Amino acid sequence: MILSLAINSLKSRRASVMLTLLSIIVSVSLLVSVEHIRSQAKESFSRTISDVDIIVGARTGQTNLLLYSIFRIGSPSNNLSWESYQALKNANNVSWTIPLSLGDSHRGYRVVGTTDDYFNHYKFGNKQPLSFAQGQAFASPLQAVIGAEVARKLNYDVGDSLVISHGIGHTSFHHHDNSPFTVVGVLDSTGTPVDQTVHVSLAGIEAMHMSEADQEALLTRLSNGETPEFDVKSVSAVLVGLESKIQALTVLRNINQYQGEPLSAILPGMALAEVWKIVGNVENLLRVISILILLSSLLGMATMLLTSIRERHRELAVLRAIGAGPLVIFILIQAEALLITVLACAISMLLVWLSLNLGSQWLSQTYGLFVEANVFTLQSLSLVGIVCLATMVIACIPAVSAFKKALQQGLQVK
Amino acid sequence: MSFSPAIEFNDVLFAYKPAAQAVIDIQNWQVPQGQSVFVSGSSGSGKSTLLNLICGALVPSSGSINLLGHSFSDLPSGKRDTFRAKHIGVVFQQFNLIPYLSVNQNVKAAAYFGNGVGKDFEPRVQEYLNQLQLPSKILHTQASQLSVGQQQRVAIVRALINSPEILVVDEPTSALDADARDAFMQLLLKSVERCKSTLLFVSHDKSLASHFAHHLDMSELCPTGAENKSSQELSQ
Repeated sequence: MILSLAINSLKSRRASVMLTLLSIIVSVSLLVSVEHIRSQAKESFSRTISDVDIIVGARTGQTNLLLYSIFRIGSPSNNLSWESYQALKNANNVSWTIPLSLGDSHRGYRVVGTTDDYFNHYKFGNKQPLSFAQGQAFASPLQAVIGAEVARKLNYDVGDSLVISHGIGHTSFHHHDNSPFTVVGVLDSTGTPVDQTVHVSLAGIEAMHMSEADQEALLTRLSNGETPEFDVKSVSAVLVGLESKIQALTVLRNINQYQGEPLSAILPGMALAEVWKIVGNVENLLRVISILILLSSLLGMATMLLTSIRERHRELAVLRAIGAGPLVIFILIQAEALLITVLACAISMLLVWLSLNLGSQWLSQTYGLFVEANVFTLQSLSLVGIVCLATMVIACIPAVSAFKKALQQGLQVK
Repeated sequence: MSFSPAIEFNDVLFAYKPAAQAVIDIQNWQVPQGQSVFVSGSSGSGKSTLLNLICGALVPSSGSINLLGHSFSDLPSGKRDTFRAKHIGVVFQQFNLIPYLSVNQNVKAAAYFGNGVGKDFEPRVQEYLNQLQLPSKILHTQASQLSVGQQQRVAIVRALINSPEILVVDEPTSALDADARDAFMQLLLKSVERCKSTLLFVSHDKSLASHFAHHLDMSELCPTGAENKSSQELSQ
C-alpha cells in the first residue's frame, strides 16, 4: 500500500521527478562505467602477457619498452643489434626468446616481425598459449599470420593477400606496394593486443624494406623454390623465458651491464605495476569525481523531496487522519527516494551495458582496452547497493522533516 | 464495553504552551454510543482543538480522554494512530482526499490503515457509494477531478469504510452551496444511522442544528475556552 502510495505520489509530480531521475541516471551511469572500465582495464591489462620473465630492448625507459613491445603503443626509439640478440639467446639460463621487430602497419594494425617461437612461447591470461583458428605459422618471408580482430574487421581469410605500409598510420605515403603478403594463419581471439597484430617473419620485415629490384629478384627466387638467406641486422625487442625464474634478477643485471651495446631489461610484472600506478591515479581521480557527482544528484533529490513536502502538507494531514502514523510518512518519503534511485540504477545499468556493447571495439582499437560488456557483475551490483544505501541516508533529511511535520501538525488543514 | 460511553472527558485541560491559558478545560463530558451530537461554537472557541484531542493528534496537558471504554489519551502515539484508523472516521471541511489517488485508492488506503482490505471491500464500497448517491464509475476518477460536493461525499465513504464507532465531522458543508448542503446532510445522517456510529458534528452554522436531537455549545462545554479568543488554532 505504501509502495502504491509512493508510486502514485511520484507520478503526480512527474516533471520534477523526471529531472531528478535524469540527473541520477547520469551520475550512476558515470559511476558504474568508471568502476566497470577500471576493473576490466586492470584485468585486461594484467592478462596481456604471461610467462615472459624478461623483456629486453635498446636502452630506454621501462614503461616505454613495455608499451611498445607488449601493448603495441608508441614506437621503439632504437633497436638492438642482431649480435646482441644472438648473445642473449645463447646466454646461460635462457630457455627461449621471442624477437620482435616493430614499426610497420597494415591499414592501422601493427605489423610485428618475429619467429616461430612467438607461436610456441607467447602466453597470455593464465598461461594460455596462442592457438590457430585457421591455417598455421608462416614458413616463408612473404607469409603472414593475423590476429582474430584483424581477420574479422578487415574480412581476411587464409589465402588472402595484404599489402604492408611503412610507418604506423592508417594512411602512409610510402606503401610497400610490391611486397604483397599472403595470409597463412588466423589466430584465435585472445582479448589482448595480439588480436590486432599482423605477424610476419623477420625476413618478411627485411623483404618489405628492400628496393623494388631486389624484391622482384626475391619473388623470382621464391617462385623457383629457393630459400633465400636474409641478413637481419636488428630487432626492436626480445621477450625472454628463463629456465629458472629465481635467476631473473641476475640475468637482468647481466643484460643491463652488457658490454656490446646499451640495453634495457625489465621484469614485465614490475613494469606493468608501474604503468598501472600512472593509470590508476587517473582512475582514482575519475572515481572521486563520479562519487561527488552522485552525491550532488542525491542531494538534488533530497532537495526536491524536501520542497515537495512543503506542498504536500494537506496530503500528509489526510494520511494522518486515516490513521497513518508519522513512521508511515517517514517510510513513504524513503520509499519515494528509493523508487527514484532504483529506477535510475536500472536504467543506468542498461545504458552502460548498451554503450559498452557499442563502444568496446572502439576502446580496444584505440586504447588496447579489452572491456567485457557484461556490467551485471557482483561488483556493479554491490555498487548499486551502495548507491541505494546512500540514498536512504540522504533521504533521511526530507523523511525526518516529514516525520516531524506529521507529529506537529494536526489532522486538519485549512 | 458496549455500555461505556463513546467519548468521555475527565478533567481535561489543554494549553498549546505550558504557561499559556488553557484552550480546553472540560471537567466532565460524555457522549453515549450511538448518539449524534451537534457541537456549535464561534471560531476560536476551541473546536479544532477539541477534535484534535478526540482524534489523538493532541494529548491533554492533564486529565484523561476515554474512547469506547479505552483510556485513549494515555496510549502511546503509534497506538493512538492505530486506534484512530480502526475506530474513528474523520471528515473535514475540505481536502479530505489525497488528490493524486483515485477514489477507490483513497478508500482503500483508509481500509488498509484501519481493519485491512478484506474480501468484502469491493461490495462495501459499492454499498456506500449507493447510499451516498455516487455513480460507480467515480471509483476510478482521480480525487482532484471531483467537485467539492462529490469530494465531501467520497470523504464520508472513506470515513465509514472501517465501520468506525465514532464519526467526527468538522464543518463538512461550509464549502457547499445551500442545495448541496441539505442533500449532504440527509445522506450523512442516513448513513450514520445505518452504521449506528456515534456522530460528533461540529459547525458554526446553527441552522444545521435542526437535524440533531442533541446540541452542545462550546461555551457550555468549556467556559474558559469560549472567552479565550485565542488565535492559536492548531494549523495556523
